[in-house]
Amino acid sequence: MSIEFNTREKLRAVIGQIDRLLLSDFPHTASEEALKRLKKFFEGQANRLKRAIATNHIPTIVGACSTANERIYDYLPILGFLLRSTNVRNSFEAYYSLLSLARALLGNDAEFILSSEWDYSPLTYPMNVSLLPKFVLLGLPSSESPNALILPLAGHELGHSVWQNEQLENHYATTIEKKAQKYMKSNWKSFQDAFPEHQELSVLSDDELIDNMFLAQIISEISSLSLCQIEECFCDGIGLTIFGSSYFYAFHYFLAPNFGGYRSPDYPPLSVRARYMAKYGEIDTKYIGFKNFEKEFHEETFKSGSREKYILNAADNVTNNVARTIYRRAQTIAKKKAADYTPNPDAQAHILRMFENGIPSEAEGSISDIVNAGWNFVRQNRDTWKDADRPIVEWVSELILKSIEVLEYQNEAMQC
Amino acid sequence: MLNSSELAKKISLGKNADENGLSIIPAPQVTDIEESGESSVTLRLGRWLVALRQSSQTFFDVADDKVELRAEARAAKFYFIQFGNKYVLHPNRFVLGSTLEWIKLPATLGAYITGKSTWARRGLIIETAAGIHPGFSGCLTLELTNVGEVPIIIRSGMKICQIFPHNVSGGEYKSHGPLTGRRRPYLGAPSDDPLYRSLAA
Repeated sequence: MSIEFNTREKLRAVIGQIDRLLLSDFPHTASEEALKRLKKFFEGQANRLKRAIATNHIPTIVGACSTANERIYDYLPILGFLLRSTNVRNSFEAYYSLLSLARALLGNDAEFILSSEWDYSPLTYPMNVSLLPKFVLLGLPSSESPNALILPLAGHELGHSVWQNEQLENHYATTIEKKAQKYMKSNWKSFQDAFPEHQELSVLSDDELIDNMFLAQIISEISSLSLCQIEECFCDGIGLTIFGSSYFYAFHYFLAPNFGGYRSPDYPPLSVRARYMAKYGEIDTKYIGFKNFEKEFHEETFKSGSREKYILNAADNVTNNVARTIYRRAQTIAKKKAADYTPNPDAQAHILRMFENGIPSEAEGSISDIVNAGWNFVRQNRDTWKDADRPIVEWVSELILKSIEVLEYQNEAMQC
Repeated sequence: MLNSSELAKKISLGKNADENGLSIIPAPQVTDIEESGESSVTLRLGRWLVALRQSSQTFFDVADDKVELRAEARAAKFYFIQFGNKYVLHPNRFVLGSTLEWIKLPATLGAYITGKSTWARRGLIIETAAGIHPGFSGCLTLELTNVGEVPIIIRSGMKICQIFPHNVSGGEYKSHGPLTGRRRPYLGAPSDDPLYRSLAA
């Protein structure tokens, strides 16, 4: 069978699959819109292949087949994501508030899709799907889909879109590279221990650090890792600023003490993230019930060769140097663009009073106030709660989601 | 029954989480109720529907054990309908809905739920288990059935039913705890019936 025949059939299968997905019951229009765009794209791929075949030029045909394969590989997980966005396990009531929050942070043309994942990790495609440039795709772990208490983690995931939208990687790249160079020069002994085969090198000037291919590569690797880490710190800063103390609780619920295994080099160690949150998050962690938030997390040290260890230590060090600045940046952006969504203690107290009376709140505060009140309800009642009656998380999630829905209803009603 | 003025007072109390009040969230306009002179509160259709679809399930037997209840749950298909979007209820079809409003009755109030006459005259039955006990808290599950000859479009957010609250003598006893409430339609499990079990043994 020729590769063009196979590719044509594969594209036909993808388009057929999208057609079937388009028959789904869509709770929100964004998923349907995204599917239509993907269908149009793959129809374009099929036409491109047809034109390539007509040329009878083998390299052109091979190129078209290769591109089609690559696109199928790239976008099939997105189709799965869109399919899961229609599943009724999702907390659809939260959609409107999260969309509003996304638009406040990213602009009124932002689209939002809430889905669920079969990985135990919140996931986002932060406006980096080239065919869906204005779409923020957020998936929460399927087992936690009905749990409204973890909604603050959406703040972190939205942070990735803000990071991209504000082009902060470009903004910080030079600073990070310079700090990586500085680390290397001021910790030269560590470098020599990690790379004994390069003992002939000595502490160099900045220009020489750039010109030396080997050192430039090491610095580039340190910078890349550190940029990934500071993006995560930035996202924690966004989540914390928007959701306040409930971000601490959701982070702790989800991640403490660890996920087993070793830390991911792309993130600061969990305990360090926790330390940054407690130090720079503008919230007194003792007041919200954590004696030492950092010590709630225990992660095994990354076991690796001396080269990887040196690079990771350097990246951690560089990240540590800029963490405060990154948090300030996140706080400034969140407060400027989404001030209406930041915590309001009076609103939280009112909502908590409603929850204590067994009823949802009515158009008071924002999604963050509602979730904060929910966590406070859990904290105040968990020790005396009889789970046999009904699990407290299930009960409070009902109140939270209904309160968020009422918020949407009232906003719609006000526009009438 | 409560007159419109008493009803408005109870709703105002409930809005502020007073345990003697009638909480309806989102709350209706109290002035509208006072001016209407009516003894009822109109409620809207929520966004979740549950249809019992055809499956390998041969029958429902609510007296049977929990295995049967799981089978019932398997036959239930949930739908989430955006405000203003429609769901077509064909003749002789049945779907569970819920009120948009979350209701909490104090110990001193019970209520009855009924359909709206405009719907009833077109063949839409709203509710058959109409009693709401004191202390109930949650969205009311509606049993929507089209007994007419013509398909009926129902839309989330539209006015669907009304409740008639009434005083309960004594008003201390709560037949439901505060934790039974749900935001989505609920198929529910029958309460344990030891007498029936011994009769059937």
